[in-house]
Parts: sequence; structure tokens; C-alpha cells
Amino acid sequence: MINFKKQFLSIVGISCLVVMSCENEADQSPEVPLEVQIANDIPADPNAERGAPPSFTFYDLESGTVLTKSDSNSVQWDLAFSGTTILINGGTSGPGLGSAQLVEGIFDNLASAPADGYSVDGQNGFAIPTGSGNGWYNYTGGSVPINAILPIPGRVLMLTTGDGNYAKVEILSYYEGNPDPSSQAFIDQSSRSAARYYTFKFMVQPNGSINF
Amino acid sequence: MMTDMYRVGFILIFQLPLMLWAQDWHTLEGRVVDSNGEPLHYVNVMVDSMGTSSNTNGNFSLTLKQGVHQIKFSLIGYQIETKTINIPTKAPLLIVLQQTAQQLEDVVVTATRTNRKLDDVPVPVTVINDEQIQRMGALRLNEVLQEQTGLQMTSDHGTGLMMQGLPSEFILILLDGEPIIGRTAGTLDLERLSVDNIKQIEIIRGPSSSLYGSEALAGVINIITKESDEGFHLGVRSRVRSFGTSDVGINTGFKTEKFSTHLFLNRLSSKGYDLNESTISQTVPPFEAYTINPKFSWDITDAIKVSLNSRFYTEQQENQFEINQNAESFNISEKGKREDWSIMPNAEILFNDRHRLNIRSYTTQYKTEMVLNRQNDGSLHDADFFNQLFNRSELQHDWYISDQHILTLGLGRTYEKVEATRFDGLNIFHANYGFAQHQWSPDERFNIILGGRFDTHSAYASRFSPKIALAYSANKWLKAKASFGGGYKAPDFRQLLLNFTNPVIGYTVIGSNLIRERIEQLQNEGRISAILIAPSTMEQIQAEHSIAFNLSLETSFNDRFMSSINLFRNEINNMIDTAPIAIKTNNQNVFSYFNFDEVVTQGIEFNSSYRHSASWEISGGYQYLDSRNLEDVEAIKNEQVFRRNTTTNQTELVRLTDYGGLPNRSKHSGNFKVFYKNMMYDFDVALRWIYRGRWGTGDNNGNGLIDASSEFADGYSLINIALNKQLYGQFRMEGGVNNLTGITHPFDPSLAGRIWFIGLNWQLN
Repeated sequence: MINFKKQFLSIVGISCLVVMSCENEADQSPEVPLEVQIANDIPADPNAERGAPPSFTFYDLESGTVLTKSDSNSVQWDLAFSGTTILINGGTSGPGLGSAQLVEGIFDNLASAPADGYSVDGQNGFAIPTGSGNGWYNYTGGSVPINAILPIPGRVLMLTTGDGNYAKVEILSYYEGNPDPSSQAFIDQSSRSAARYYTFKFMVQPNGSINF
Repeated sequence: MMTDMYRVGFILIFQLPLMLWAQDWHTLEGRVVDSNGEPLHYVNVMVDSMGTSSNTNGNFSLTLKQGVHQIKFSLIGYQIETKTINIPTKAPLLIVLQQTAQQLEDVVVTATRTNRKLDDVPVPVTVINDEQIQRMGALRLNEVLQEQTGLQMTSDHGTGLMMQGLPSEFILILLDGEPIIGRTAGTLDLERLSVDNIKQIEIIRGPSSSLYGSEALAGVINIITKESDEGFHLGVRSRVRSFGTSDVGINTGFKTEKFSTHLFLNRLSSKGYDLNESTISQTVPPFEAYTINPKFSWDITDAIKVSLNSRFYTEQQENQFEINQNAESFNISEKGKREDWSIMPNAEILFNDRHRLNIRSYTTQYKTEMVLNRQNDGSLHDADFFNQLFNRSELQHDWYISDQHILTLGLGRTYEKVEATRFDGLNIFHANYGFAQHQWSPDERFNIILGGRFDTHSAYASRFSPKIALAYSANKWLKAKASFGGGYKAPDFRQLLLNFTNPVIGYTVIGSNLIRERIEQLQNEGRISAILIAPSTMEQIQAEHSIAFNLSLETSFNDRFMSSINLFRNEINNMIDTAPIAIKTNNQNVFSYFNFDEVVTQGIEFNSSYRHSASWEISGGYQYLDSRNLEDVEAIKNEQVFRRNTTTNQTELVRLTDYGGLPNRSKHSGNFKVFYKNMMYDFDVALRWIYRGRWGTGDNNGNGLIDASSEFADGYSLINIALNKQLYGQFRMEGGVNNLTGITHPFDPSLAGRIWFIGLNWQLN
């Protein structure tokens, strides 16, 4: 319970930073250090019906906003979410310059993006691979907390955005409200908050450099 | 014996005149020895309400009033002896106590497949006899095994166990030497086995695949059932427990010079219990189980002996639960049925003193059926069945070359047939094997075993399992044992045969036997978008195999104090796990089974017992266990494993000191037992304390391994007390409480809280 409270406070704290960073962005001043931003509870087709085609939520990292579906053919969006699948704006998924690769490390300590090694979405799979352990998450299966999708800590998505800027993203939660997976409320599936809501932190370098 | 009687007679006749002049009080002196003439210490000597016990030389003395007295001599492990003495008597009294059957029968068969004295076997063996089982008031096998050092119970599709840090699927369980079949997710449910007809349980630690083949990787548990003694016997034991549990068992049979039969009948039923009131389903549902166990044996001649053992078991249970589907919820009734039967004809031919031939056949079947019906309209929601038939024919030749050498050779063939809802069609497997073992005792101090077994199988690669074991008796009180062996576990049915697609998420899992044809089929249907591993390059799946070391020291300073320490290390290679082999057009994986993980379990087991007197006995045990997945350890060392700190919400590196090993293993576990027997009023009390330290339950911070304190379940202590009281002649009463402090545990549904029990036993010999 204490952990949960602290976590809640830290989320509030980071959210304040996000608000501040949004204000700072208006300056467009290159001297201002880049801020870590947090996107909270981005829906990823939470009401999906079985058999229905997936519905994606399109997200623009540069503005930190969810776009309307009509923007899906533009280069503006950077990530699209539906269930555990994450698309980038490149290759078969979109007209943009988007590409991605997964690196291992601590988000804050990754001072630059790799110069190469990126791939785009294609017929033979996505730049961000799907499946437990392959990409950004592990599926717990029968182990407690059962049937949960947990982001793999230390796995950072290195991206080029639809506009061609470098960005880094770390998925924090797949559940509404970013719950503590070790809490009793999460372990009990009947009280677990809804799945298919992404919380992630990210940082974009708008000047085209690979350094954050 | 005769001379003793004459002596007593002599004393009575010739010393009669002396008694006339004697005073009221006289000293009686005597000595108690065993059948080998060795003095017995701590023998209880009771006369009316007075008593004493014998000293280290077996001597005792009592001051008694003139007249006729009944003197009772008793010692655990020996038959009670009663003497009528007319006091005064000048000559000292000599009493010879006979060992009880158990003590004489400390012969084990499982370690070498030949009858050997427990002392002569160079591998770690634990023997639990019927007397110990009776003292505990146990109903099912799991209750007995739970109280043994180093064995931890687990709940995963039934009650299984962990031995030397390895789970049920790596432990071979034998019933009268033949493997019990019917495992679900690797677990053989120990609650299928009643303990009321068990003569002795032998637990071998360390791999024994060199004798038994698959599954004997962590060790072997052999349940040896009772046989009839001379004459007719009939015993009825009935018990009731909390949660509406009742158990009735009948053991009966007779033995003549040539023919022997034993029949065991048991019925166990329970109303079950519910630890989670918020759901309509019960944690343990009501059930009803029947066991029938007839045994026959016939000595046709002195050299030819035949026997037929059989077992029939059936169990039914009912439960209900709620499911949510497409925003609607249904109540579902579940009816489950489980059956097994087996027959084992066996012939033993003794050609002469040196050659013994054993021909045996074993046929067994295990079936489960589950039907789910919707409660609102009674319509069928789902049904599931599993049906396995297993046959094994085996020939074993023991050649007693000399006092120093015993050679055992064996050949066998198995046939197995499996049909199940989740497997396609009817699946048939064949396997052949041969084994050889040489037991060599160069002199009284050394015992050496060399052995090996070769197994071939129709569905996976062949295996050779070696074993070397050595025992050395340094002196009367110190003995060292060392063994090295290989063990293996065959891929199970789901690893070979599964053909399953998750209806909600859409991934597919295919057993290694079917992978080529199923991938081809999916490709032809246009449902594969990418192949990650070409099925043509996949090698035939291999059995999971291990090498293991056991090193033990045993001390017995005298008859009263015994202590042993065992160091073990198991290295398991080729652990089978799933990995994606292809990606489907729905972006989900096709998984199959591969050999990749490497796992190590190692630790120390310590056991000690002390017999204070004929009435008091205490014992204790402790196990330290370290378990690790080498791949995980490597990744941690390479700084590739991270976790999210739940307080700071920051990602941080996982260090080796955070690593919590494999799930479900307790690093610390132990037990402490006190046994008290009251000779005066003929009752005994067995008090046991069982401790299980905290254990890892599973990952909850996404890195797939156990590293955070929230990923551990709390440890617990159980206190069990059982009381036995002999009533008039043929009746015995028992009662007690299991889990006295009423513990329940979110990660161990088998802990149901406090359980009271009471029972009555009637024995006609």
C-alpha cells in the first residue's frame, strides 16, 4: 500500500514535469535540455471484439498527443497501439520515416540513439516484434500475477519518428492507471484494472541529432 | 531359551526354603539383551506402578515386595516381554528381547533392485515404515512425504512434490516397483495414493535412471504395500476429519505355507473447502474415491514363486465456477472423474543359490473425464478426456557370483498408447531398454555399485544413464557415501503431441512430433507470414537429462544418537521450453518445444535423531537449497536484466544478490519431531513441526525472473499432533490435529486451516 502511494505521488510529480515541458516546448529553444515525458493511459483498442479487425490509436511523440484516425495517412504520427501490437510510421504501416529497434539499458542513461540497426514494419513482422519475450513485454501465463502482460524493464524502444527525429520510449504499463503488478488488487484478476491502456515515458530529440 | 527356562525353574525350586526366612523387601537384579546377546540400554522395566530402565550394560535392579510379580520389558523396536517372578529370587534374571519385524526388515530394494540391507547401500535412502505412518494418522501419501526433510509439497494440477529442488515431473513414483502413470502438467497427484496398506516407503535421493529410466532424475519413491503374515488377519480402520472428510480402510488376508493373499479396500470422501468466499467455486471440491488392492502370491515350489498384484482406483468430484464470455456470465457445473487400474503378474525363479530370474509384466491405464455444463439450461459447455495405457514387460537376472559380487542384468520393452482431447488421433510409442549393475564389496568396509542403462524410444533420442556409487565405513560410527549418476526425463505428451491454438489471443503451440506437418499445413492454408526456424533444420527433441553428485556422512555414536549430512548437486541440461518457430498472419507466434535451459540445484540436507529412552525420541531435519537457471545468471552477470523499482518507478539493474532462484523452491526448510510413548497406559503421542521458508512465486516486474521481495510468498510453520491409544485388546483409538495454528496460505491451497481427526481401529489377528 505504501509503495502504491509513493508510486502514485511519483506519477503526479512526473506529470507536473510533463505539464512544464509542454509549456517549455513553445519556446522551441534548442538550449533547453530535453525533458522526459510521460503518456498516461493511451487506449489500445480496449473494447476489442473477437474477430473484429484491430483498431489503432495513433500517437504523436513530438506533440505528446493522440491524433484522430484521419491523420493515420500522414507522417505526423509516430506510434500506433492496438492490444500488444505497436506500429511505427514506416514500411508497410505508414508513409513516414519511422523505424525502430529494441535496446537494453536504463532509459535515463541511454545518452544517444544507435546510428543504425533500425528496421521498418514489413510483411515478415513488425519493427517492434510481437509475442511474449520477443519485444517489449512478457506474458506471465500461469505464474502469479496470472495472465498478465508486463513490460520488460530495461527494454527501450529506439525510434525514428514519422518526421525522421530520433526518440526513445520505455513502456511502463499495459493497464489503466499504471497499477503496481505486485499489489493484491492486480494479482486478483477480478479487481485488476483494464488492459490495453499504455503508460510510457519517452524523449524526442527534435533537432535531428542522435544525442538526447 | 530352554536353558533360561531351566535356570528359572531351578531357582524357583531350590531357593524356595530361603524365601521362608526372607524379609518383606528384596532386590531383583537382571540383564536385558537382544537376540544377538548384545546388552540393551534404556529398556523399560515395569512392575505394577514401579519401574526402572536398564543401563549401558543392559543391567537393572528393582526392589520388590515378597510375592508374585509380573514384570514387563519394553523398548522401541523390540517386542514386549512379560515375565512372572516369585520374589525373592537370588539369581539374576536374563531377558532376551526380540526385534520387531520392522527392525529386522530394514532391507531396501529400490536402491539396487535387489534386497540389500539399508546399511550396505551406497546411495542416500530414507525408509518410512508402517509404524511411523500409523503414528501420524495420515490418510494420503502427500501427508507422509510432507514431513520428510528435503521434500516440499507443491500444488500444480494436483499435489506434487519437490525433491532436491526438482519438481514432480523429475521424480519417479513406483508402486511395488512399477511406475504409476497419470500425470497432469508433470504432477502425479499424491492424493491418489492411500497410505493405509503401505508396509514401507523407500525414498532414494539422486538420479536412478541407470536402473529405472525416465523420470528417475531427482530420485525415486517406491511404495511397498503390505503382505499377509501367517494365518488370517482382518483390520478395519475408520477415521473422520474436519471438512466432512471420512476414510474407511480394510486390510485382510491370510497366509498358508504356500499361498498368501492380501486385500485392501478404501473409501475416502470429503466435502472439500473454500478459501475464497467471493467465488462460487470451491478451492477443493467435494470428492469421493475408492481404492481396491488385491494381491496374491503362490510358492509353486521352493524355487518358483508367482504373484499377482493389482490396483483399481476411481474418484469423482464436482465443482462449479463462473465464466465471463462476450459480456455475459454463466455458471458452469463441473463434473470430473479419474480412474486408474493396474495388474502386475510376476514370476521369480531361483535356479540355485546363485541365480535368480525375475519375469514380470505390468499393464496399467489412467483415464480422466471432465464435463462442463451450463447451469441455466444444462447445455454442454465443454468436455475433455485423457486416456493413457501403458504396458511393460521386463526380465531381470541377478547373479550372486560370490559374497563380494552381485551382477544384475535386465531387459525390457514398453508400449504406450495415448488419446486425448488436446492431442490429434491415437498415439502409440514403443521403447526398449537394457540395464546392468555390478555390486561389489571388496571387504567389510567398502560397497561399490557400477551400473548403466540404455533406453531407445520411438519419439525422441536414445539415452545412456550411468551410475557409480561408493560407501566406505571408516569405523563403527562413521560412514561416508558418494555417488555420481545420470538421470533423464522423457519429453511428456504435451511436448510431443500438443496441437493447441489459444482461442482468445490466437497463438499456437505444437508438439515436436507434429511440427513439420502442422507448419506445412498452416503454410498451405496461407496462415504463416514468416518462418523463424525452418522445421527441416530442427533436430529431434532430446530428453531432459542431468548429472548429479551426492556426498554423505553418517554417524551413529551409539544406538541412541544418529546423524547424517548429505551434500547434493544436480545439473540439468536440455530443459524443454517453448520458443517461437513461426509468425502467423494474425501476428501471433507458433511455438514449439526446444531443449535449451540449463538449471542447477544444489544444497545440504541434515538429519538427526536421538532416542532418549524407551519413551522419548526426538528428531530434526533441515535442508538448504540453492537453485538457479544458468541462462538467467549469465544475463544478470552481463548486466542485461533490469527491473522497475516499485517505490521510485525507475528502472534499475538487477544484481546477482537479488536473484531468487527458480520459483516454488524454499531456500530453507526443516522439521522437528517429538515422539512419546507411555508404557504404563499404552498410548503414544507424535508431535511434529514442519517449516517451509519463503519461496519465489513468479515474476511481477516484467523481467521474467524472481528478484524482488514482492515476488516471494511468506514461509509458514505447521504443527501436527497425533495420539494413539490401545484400548481393550483388539481396539485402538486415534485422534489429533493437523495444522494446529490454522494456517491458510494464498500460494498453497492445500493448507485448509486446522483439521481435527479421530479414528477407531479394530484388528483381528
